[in-house]
Amino acid sequence: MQTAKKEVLRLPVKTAESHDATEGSIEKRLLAEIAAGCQQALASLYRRRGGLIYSLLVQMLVSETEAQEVMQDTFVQIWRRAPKYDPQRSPPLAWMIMIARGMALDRLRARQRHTAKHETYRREIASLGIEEMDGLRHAERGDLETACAAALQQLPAPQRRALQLAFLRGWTHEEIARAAGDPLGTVKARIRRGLMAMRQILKDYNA
Amino acid sequence: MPEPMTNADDAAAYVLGTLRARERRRFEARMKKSPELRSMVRALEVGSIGLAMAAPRREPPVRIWDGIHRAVVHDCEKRHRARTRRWLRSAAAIAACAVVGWFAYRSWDHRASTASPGVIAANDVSADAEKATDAAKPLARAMSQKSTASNLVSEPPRERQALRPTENATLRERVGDLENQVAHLAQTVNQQQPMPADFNRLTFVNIVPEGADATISQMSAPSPELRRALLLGVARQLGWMPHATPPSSTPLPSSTPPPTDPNPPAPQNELGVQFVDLPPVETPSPESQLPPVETPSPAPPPVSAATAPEETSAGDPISIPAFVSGTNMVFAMPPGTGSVNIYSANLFYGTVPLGNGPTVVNLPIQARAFDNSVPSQASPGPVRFSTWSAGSVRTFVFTFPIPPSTSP
Repeated sequence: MQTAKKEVLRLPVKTAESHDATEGSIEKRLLAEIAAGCQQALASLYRRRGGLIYSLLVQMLVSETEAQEVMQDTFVQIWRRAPKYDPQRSPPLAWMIMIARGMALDRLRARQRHTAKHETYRREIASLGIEEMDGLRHAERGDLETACAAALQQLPAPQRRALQLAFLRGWTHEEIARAAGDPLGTVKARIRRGLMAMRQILKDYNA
Repeated sequence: MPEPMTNADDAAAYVLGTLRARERRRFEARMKKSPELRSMVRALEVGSIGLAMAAPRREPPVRIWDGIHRAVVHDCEKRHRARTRRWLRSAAAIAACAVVGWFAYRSWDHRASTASPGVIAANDVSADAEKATDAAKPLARAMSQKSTASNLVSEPPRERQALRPTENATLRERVGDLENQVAHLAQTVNQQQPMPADFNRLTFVNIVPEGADATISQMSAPSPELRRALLLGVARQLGWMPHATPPSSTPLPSSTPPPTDPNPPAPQNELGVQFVDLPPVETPSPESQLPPVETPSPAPPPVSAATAPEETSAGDPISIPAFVSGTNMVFAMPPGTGSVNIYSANLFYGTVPLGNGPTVVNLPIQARAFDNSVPSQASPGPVRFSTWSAGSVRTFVFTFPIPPSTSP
């Protein structure tokens, strides 16, 4: 375990072409072009971020069919909301993820309102299908995504589960605390620290 | 006991989308006011990117993009249709406003016309004119002819002319007045056109006392009163100022010496200035050759007389402003209680009494007045003014320029 942690932290310094700031500026430009009505810019953005968003949606909704429907709706919404995007408020990818998550959470809530019980909690944890870092998966992913997956795996299990339930299933802090039987403050702190840890991974990666 | 929410916890819940709608709106309101909160949310959003990137990688099917593309194209067409509909709605609204406005204007115009008594009468006139038996038709025809004669205003349409005869008659009266004024102005302009030539022929001079050449620099300029009087004389000479009817008799000042002319010219008082038009002297008569009473010698001195000044009076030397127009000489004399005797060569023109105001004398000089002692040379003789006032005599000598029309 200690060895894996050291491997995660020892990330290679990225070159200019994969620099996130550059990626962000490209996506900002694409969003500006989409706001001006350029369909080619939307296609370019889809090529760049479609896989990431689709992967997130599949993990959130479990059903690929629903994920495809939400994926289509997400990019139509990106097309429509691009004029309202404010680069000062959030990075382009965070803005797109927020749209995708919002639509997926609406779909999840429409499906069935979960009851915050311990059985439900266990079932959801099982459905999350947290993948283990085997060699095959590692080869298919990019360096940054591998680093993020590894960082998530490095988090303590209660923290990781709380973070995943909140991020992927839309559970509230109170619901997680009730289902897990943990104090609310503890759950809040776990989630907050988990987000900051993931941010730190990206920060180290781009340093 | 629930733990109180901190800003960081709220920010994390906001980023994860787990806040209820009411809490979310409240947090967004707080975020607008707090840059620190915005910065915290931005940092946590980057963390959410990391979480999304940690998801197992899946490639979306190609058909998803096809669906997105179709939806976007459809959306574009819908936007275009909506824009077109908006444009058409705006155009229709503008057109409707224009039509309503036009009808309102027509209605207002019709009501205004109906409310006018002149138009009511005009409607009657128009209806009667249609019958060709009403007396209004010749009137309308006469008015139309009058309007045609006028070249200052365009002829109005026949319908409007028939509708508003009262207004048209008033307008035509005004046009007639304007035409009269224009004709009068044209006539005046025609009369004034040769004026510059006449004005150019005027020669202004200052007449100084005889033998005062040496002291010319000490001569005082004519007073403003005298200059104003001479200007009025110019206006009178050029016809700008009408000649007033002379009074039947003008009393002479009490200090006037016994006149030598039994019929002195009657002065005309205008604008505080006394105008005296001396009659022309055709033939030298023995009476006209008589010198004034106070004149030392009956015969005028020769032209080139450079004798000592004959003035015997004390006081500042003065100069007499004058101008020559053709064969007329006009000069302005200052106010006084005496009189002035005017003679030239061997002619005596008369005696002009001085008054309380300036006196402007118009002196017509005939060709005979010029000294023709040298036949080959048209040399006019000098004009002398002898002023007599309070027992003192002052003589002014003026030599005429050669008048163009009186060359011998």
